[in-house]
Amino acid sequence: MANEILNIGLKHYLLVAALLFSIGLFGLITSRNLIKVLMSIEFILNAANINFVAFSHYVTPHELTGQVFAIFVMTIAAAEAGVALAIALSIYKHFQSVDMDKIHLMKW
Amino acid sequence: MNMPFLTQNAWLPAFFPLLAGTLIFILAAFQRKANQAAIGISITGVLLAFVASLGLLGARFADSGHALQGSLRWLTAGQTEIAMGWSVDNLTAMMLVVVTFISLLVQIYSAEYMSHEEGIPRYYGALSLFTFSMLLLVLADNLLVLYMGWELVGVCSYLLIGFFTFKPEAAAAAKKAFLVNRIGDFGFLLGILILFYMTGSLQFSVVTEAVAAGKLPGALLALAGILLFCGPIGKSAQFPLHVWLPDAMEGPTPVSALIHAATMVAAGVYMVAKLMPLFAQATSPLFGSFLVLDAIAWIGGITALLAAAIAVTQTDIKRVLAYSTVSQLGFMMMALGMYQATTEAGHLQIIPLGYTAGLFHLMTHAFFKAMLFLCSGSVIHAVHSNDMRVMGGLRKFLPVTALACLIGTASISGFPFLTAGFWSKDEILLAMWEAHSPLFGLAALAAVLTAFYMFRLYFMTFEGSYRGELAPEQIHDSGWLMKGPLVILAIPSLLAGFVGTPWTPPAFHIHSFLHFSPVGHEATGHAVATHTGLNPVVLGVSLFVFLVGLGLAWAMYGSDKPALAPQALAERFAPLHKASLNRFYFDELYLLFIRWVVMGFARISAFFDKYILDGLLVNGVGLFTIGSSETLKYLQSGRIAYYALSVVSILVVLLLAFLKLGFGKVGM
Repeated sequence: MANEILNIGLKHYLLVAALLFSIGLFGLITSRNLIKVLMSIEFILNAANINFVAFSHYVTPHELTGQVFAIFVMTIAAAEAGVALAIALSIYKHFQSVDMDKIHLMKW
Repeated sequence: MNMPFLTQNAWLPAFFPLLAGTLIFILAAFQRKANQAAIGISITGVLLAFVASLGLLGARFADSGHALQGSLRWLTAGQTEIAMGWSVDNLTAMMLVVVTFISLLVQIYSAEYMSHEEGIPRYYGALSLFTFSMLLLVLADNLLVLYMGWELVGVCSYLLIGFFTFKPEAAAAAKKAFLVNRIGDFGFLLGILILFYMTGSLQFSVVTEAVAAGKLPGALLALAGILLFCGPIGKSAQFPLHVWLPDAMEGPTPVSALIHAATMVAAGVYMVAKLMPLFAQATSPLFGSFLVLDAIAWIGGITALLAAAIAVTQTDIKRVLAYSTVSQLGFMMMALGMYQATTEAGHLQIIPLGYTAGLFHLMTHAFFKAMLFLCSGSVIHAVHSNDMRVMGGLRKFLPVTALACLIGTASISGFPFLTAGFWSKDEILLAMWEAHSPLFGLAALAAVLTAFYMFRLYFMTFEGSYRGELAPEQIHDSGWLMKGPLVILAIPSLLAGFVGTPWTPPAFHIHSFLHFSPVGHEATGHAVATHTGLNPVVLGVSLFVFLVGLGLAWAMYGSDKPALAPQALAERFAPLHKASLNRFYFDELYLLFIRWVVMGFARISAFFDKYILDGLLVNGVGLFTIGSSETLKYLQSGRIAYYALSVVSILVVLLLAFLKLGFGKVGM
């Protein structure tokens, strides 16, 4: 029984990733703060990263495709964070607020 | 002209008028009043065409073996090649000479007749193009080129009928002629398409061979034959599409002489003769032994009698001649429809007995009818009226015209032995007699009426005393440019018949020059036996018919105090007289048909278009889009969290649905 718990496999990684994804999704939907939304997106991206690496390790151990993909995702996430924070800053300058509920100009 | 060059390039006759017409229109674009140049170019073009045609006719006489032909590749589509082909056989050669000869004389005549009119270059350009189109039609060796020429003569006819653009009646008549012709041409085109679809070729020789080989099922062949015959019904003004030709008289009189009497309207007869191998094969399974040729004969017969019956009461000199043309074209069609059916080894063999007779009449009629029209032009020129009631006694003022008109009248009425019309009409009656056709009596009656209305025209115009208001010194005969063509045309009007008498040497006889050869026998020159000779019964009928018509006309119109008052006779047969005077109400009938049936249908269509198509469908789609987008736009709330929520929830629902329904198993 103890062995089984210590024997960490693909399933466990996927569970962690799913948990992380769900937290990110929950944060994305419920957050009012723009910064929190960005953080939630990072959660989701990293959940995907964990999946990539885990699948890569367990399914195709001799190829590094998944890992390479994870690095790509991190790079893009970094770039995205830079752009998104810049947008957040200018939104704050304009509205004096980062409350998402107050920023809904893009509607009918 | 170099003979081998001419026979190898038999398209030359058509080329000269085309060149002339093009030159005139280019010239007219720069110099609107280039009258003399236009006349010169046009007459030169048609003169060259006439000389070339004479050369070709001579070549055919010298060696009437294979047709002079050739072709240029026009377009290729897959396996199908369509050529611009020409072919000159004996029939074509005769038509070439007739068309160019009359066109030449009419153009010379026009130089004086039209001298007071505006737009001479336009007139001569259209005349040249008309001559070109007609020659193209005649030279064609395939159905498409024939159809092209066919439509082009229609266009030129439209332009020339409507030449007097300031006259609303002329514009209306031009439109009517064009539209009525289109009805027939539509059938013609459908017929061509059937033949093309079934045989894969448009070439006359290939098509007729395929038909002879039985490539077309009987019903389809009959349908094609009837559809093809719609073309001649329109162009040759046969019943029930004859209504356009009398109205076409609104055009200048020389145009009536050339187009609406001698050449274009003969195109239908020419086409039936050209496709005779096909028509002779076309039996209709619907009516037992009924042939398409029977339909041709009956349509021709009805036309001949109907038009003659209308002509007897008309008072407009050109309209009498127009109905007379319709009637004579009916005679030609009737002759072409005569046949003798024999069964040879179980195979039905059709011998068209009236083939030569119809074409013979086509030729003689072209001469004397063109002359009669030119005579009427001369008269109209002199008294400035079309109405015969204000003419009379004009022989004193217009002696040459009167003589020419008398010769033409004698010829068309069939003055025995001396005139061309007698011999050709005799041939037709003979063919009908030998075919044992029930139409013989009808033809004889139409011939009586012909003699009657033509002499009525002559007496009312030239004999008796003058009934108009012009002073005698104001009426004068026309100049020699107009009288010359009359005199020249009088010669063939008298002499052209001598190629068809029983005493003509066989070498020059029209039966040996123009005869029907069944498919497969052209090369050997094997002719179907056709009759030559004087049948006493037919001759008697011919003479009797002529004398009765002449006598009646003399009694009623011969002098100022007629033995038989036309007025009394008209009252005696009032309903008949009234019907004839009103052209048997055909125009009214068509107007009613258009007003109620066509316009009713148009109204229904307009309603459907306006309210169903435009209203319900087109506007409906627009309204639905507006309505739905007005509703759906509220989904665009601007709150990103909602978007994310909706994306995720839809995704979850879809995933669950796929898992539940097992779509995912497909990929596994």
